[in-house]
Amino acid sequence: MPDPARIAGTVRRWISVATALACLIPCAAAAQDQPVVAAIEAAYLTKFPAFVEWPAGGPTALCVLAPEATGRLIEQAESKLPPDAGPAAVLRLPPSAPALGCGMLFVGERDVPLPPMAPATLVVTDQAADGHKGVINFVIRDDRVRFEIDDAEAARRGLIISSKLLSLAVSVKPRA
Amino acid sequence: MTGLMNRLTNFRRHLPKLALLAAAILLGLGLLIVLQSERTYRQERIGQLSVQAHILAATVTAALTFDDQAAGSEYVAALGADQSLRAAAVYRADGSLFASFVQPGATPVAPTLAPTSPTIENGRLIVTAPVTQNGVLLGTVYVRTLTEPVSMRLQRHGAIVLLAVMASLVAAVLGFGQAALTRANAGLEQHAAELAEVNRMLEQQIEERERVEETLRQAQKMEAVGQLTGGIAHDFNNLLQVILGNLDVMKSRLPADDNGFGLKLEAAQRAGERAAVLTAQLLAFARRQPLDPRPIEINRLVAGMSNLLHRTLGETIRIETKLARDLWWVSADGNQLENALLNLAVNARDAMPGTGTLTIETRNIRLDSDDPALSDRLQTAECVAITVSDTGTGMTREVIAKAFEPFFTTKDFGRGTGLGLSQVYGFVKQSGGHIEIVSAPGAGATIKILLPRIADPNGRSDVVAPAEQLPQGEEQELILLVEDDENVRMIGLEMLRALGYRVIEAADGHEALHHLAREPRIRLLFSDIGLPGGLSGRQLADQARRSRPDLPVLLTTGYAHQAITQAGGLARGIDLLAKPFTHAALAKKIRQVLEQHPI
Repeated sequence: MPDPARIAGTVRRWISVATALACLIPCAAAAQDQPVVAAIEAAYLTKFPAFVEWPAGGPTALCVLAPEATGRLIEQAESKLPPDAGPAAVLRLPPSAPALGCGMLFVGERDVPLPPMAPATLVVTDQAADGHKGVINFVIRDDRVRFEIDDAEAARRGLIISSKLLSLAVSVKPRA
Repeated sequence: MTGLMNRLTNFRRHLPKLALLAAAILLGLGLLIVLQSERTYRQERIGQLSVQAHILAATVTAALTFDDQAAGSEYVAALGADQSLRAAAVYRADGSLFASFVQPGATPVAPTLAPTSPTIENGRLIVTAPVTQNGVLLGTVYVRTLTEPVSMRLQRHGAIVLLAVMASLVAAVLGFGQAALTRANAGLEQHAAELAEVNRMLEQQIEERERVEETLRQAQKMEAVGQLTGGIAHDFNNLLQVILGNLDVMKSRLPADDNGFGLKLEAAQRAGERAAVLTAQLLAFARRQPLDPRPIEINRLVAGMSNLLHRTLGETIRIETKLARDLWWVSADGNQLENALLNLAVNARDAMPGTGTLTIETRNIRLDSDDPALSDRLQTAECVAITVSDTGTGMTREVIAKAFEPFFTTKDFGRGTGLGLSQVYGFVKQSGGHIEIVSAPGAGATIKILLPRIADPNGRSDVVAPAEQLPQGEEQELILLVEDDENVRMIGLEMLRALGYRVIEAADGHEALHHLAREPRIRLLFSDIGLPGGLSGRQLADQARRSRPDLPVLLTTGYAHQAITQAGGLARGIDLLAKPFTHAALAKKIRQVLEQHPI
């Protein structure tokens, strides 16, 4: 059984610890938070499919275009989910590899061009994906990992995002 | 119909119980409605709260998935708009609190909670709902509200309770009202029945009164007729006594060669005797015939009449006798009773032209206290009944009403005198008895005579056939003859002397007493009852027997006074000879009295 609560609890503890450390050593905060944020984003990534509808139906594969550590975190998070929950598989894409068979694409690496992909691909980006904006984009607000949603982009891609997920976004770009 | 009425009466009797049962059922129904309403209310509240919990569970899914407590708290706090909702919370799958909302003043939510079914405790309704996403349990929603206050619930159920109580009261009041009505009806019915009974008794009394008045009218009529006929008959008797006595004397002195005068005398005698019979019958009806009541056994008397009856009725009439064993004794004049039965038998024969059956039955009976026979002269409940029945033509009611009147007859002219039944009537009444006729046209007739019972006189009976020989007197036997009517006295004097007696005559009681005091050899006092001078024959007898208790007395009259013939009859030592008497009757009676009182 997936235990997102436990993961979240762990994440929260980590966040608390990290926040405390950030207060003591502000200069080292960004470097120290990176694994924690990556872990939270990994957990979130595996949970997004539950709130998204693809034109061809799910589940779908989650392709990862990110550093290897992040990819492992995502794989670990996916492995903790129940069999029917989360993405059908996690695929780490090599640079320049097409992402045509992916329902989801996570871009968590700087300076990488977006690979060719199917139109109905849920693109998720984070701050590292410099210059790229996906349908869902991770942001840090109040020292917490949050996300923005571009529902107009989702509509263009033929995706339907649950209002539940939309209600949690820090900002939503509505579809036309 | 009666069954239906009984069932209706039973139903009415059970109405109060049924009303109480109906009231109890109505109250029970009211209670059931209240309970059902309460259950429905709880289910509705649980349903409403469950809906709210499930809405929250659906809403909070993403917040719980992404552990967004701020978003979760917003969702939970939104429920606070419902003031009846006291607290709401979202717990994670591990039971830890994720987000919560508590109304001011309400009990805080627990930090951990396990999923549970809806419960109501301490006036609080708690509902939980699971939070799932794609079949995965993410947590639990907890919602708590207050149940409706008791006052509100009472207010809500008050109408029903009031209706049930009112309906029960109405049922009870109706039931008891019906019961009271039923009791009142029963009372009215009872009063009606009592009134009907009183009315029936009144009608019965009226009928009884009319019957008694009719009987009284009849009795008064018969009494009037009796007095009339009795008075005439008495005078006739004296005349007949003179006629018959002189005929007797003339006949005794008639020479052998009488040129046929003897036959003429005999014809005159027969006519006189027939006239005497008629006057006797009239006197009998008027209850003034001289009776000689003695204790008699009626069965012996009836048995002794067998030959006479067969001769009288002829061979075509069958005679049956049903004589009861151990029949009581009665006091009556046996000869008159024989005459009465013979009269009845002759009437029966005439009512049965051709063939028929005459039945004479005797039996002891005890009359009921309300028997109409007792209201008449008959005053003793224990009687001997002599019933003479025939199978003849019977009588109509009108004939029965007049049957006892003298000279009333239904027979052809010349066949009946109309004195037979009136003689029987007079004899029975004079004997202290009762007589009645039961008959209908074509159904024969039954004449019942009731005579009062007397004590058993130890077998003594005077129903003895008289001797046929004319006894003669002896010269030394001196008889004092007292008679105010000179003609009658003269004929009596001649008869007694012809029989061989010596005679002293007196015209009234005082003269007789004078003779008695002067002549102690007087052997017998033979006196008429009706004497002038203030001393009757009966008083004369009493005074004479005071000075000479052993003096035998023979009284004679054609008109027996009530004082003599009523119950008790004549005193011992005093005998009676009815006028007109024949020579032979006088001879026998004189001899009989003298022999009963030897010197």
